[in-house]
Amino acid sequence: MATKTASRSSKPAVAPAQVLYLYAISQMPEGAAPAVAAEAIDGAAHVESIRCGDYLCWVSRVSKSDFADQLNERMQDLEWLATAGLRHQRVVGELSSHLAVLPTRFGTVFMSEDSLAQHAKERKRALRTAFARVANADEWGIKVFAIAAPKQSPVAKDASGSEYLKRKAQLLRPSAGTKLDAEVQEFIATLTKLAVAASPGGKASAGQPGLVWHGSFLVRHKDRKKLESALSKFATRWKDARRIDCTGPWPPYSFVGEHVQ
Amino acid sequence: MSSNGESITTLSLEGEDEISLLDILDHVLNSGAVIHGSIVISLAGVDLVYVGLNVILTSVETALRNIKRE
Repeated sequence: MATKTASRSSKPAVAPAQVLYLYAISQMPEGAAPAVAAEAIDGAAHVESIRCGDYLCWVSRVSKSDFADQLNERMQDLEWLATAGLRHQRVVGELSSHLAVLPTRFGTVFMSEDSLAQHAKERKRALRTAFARVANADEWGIKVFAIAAPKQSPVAKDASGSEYLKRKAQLLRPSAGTKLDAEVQEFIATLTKLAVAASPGGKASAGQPGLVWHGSFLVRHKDRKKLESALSKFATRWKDARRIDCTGPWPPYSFVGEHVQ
Repeated sequence: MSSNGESITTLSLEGEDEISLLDILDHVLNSGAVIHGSIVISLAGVDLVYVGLNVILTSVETALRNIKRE
């Protein structure tokens, strides 16, 4: 496992066509750093750790062309994005089963070990705050769906493929400005109360049909039962009106940014 | 849906098969920006990705199933 220092004289050369893809930052483990079995983001490189001050940065060396120069283009290819997104989550998920980690957003890339070490050093205080916030806690993704008869038959005939796509896009567009009803607000308030922090849900699933609300909660391990019973209480009450989806435990993706209070 | 009639679906990440790709992307794309400003890559293209995702949810799910078969 790499525990390289950033000293200039002994710095091993990173091949010019490679960059460092960062998955997560962890605190120093008590013993040896765990080996990561999960596939790296490109399906080829190994996941390794680089020591940066008091922390370990978990990275793999990847093609500069795919992950730096053309990342935005690559991300438009949904099959590529699906594969890479899943790999990112698997690496972070494995790491967080061994260590307290701050997961990095998909697509965080550094040009060299020096620039990575430099940035970790500059943000020492923010990192410390983030580690304290997420200690002994997991992220849970919560979605509320309205249960209703579908407004449109899924087998409706369309004259052309583009008409189909237009109709589907229309169907998926969240009704803007719809006010959440009191029941849903009460639900959110209940979860917020038992959680350390709450965060709005991601945009990727914002267009799911019937989605009324979604968000993430950071919940201490000791409060997991409270979360479960709150979900259960509302699910019983809502039975035929709304469905609740709960996913987790996630690494605390939504609670490590500097925007989080 | 659980057997006692509650409208709740709890999916565990350990049984990853049940986790939708959209959920994964919600977490890995939307957040986790630990080190703001140091990111060499600008994720300007992300909004375009979301437009794509919302129009073709089904093919994303298909893509995910293909990965699992690998």
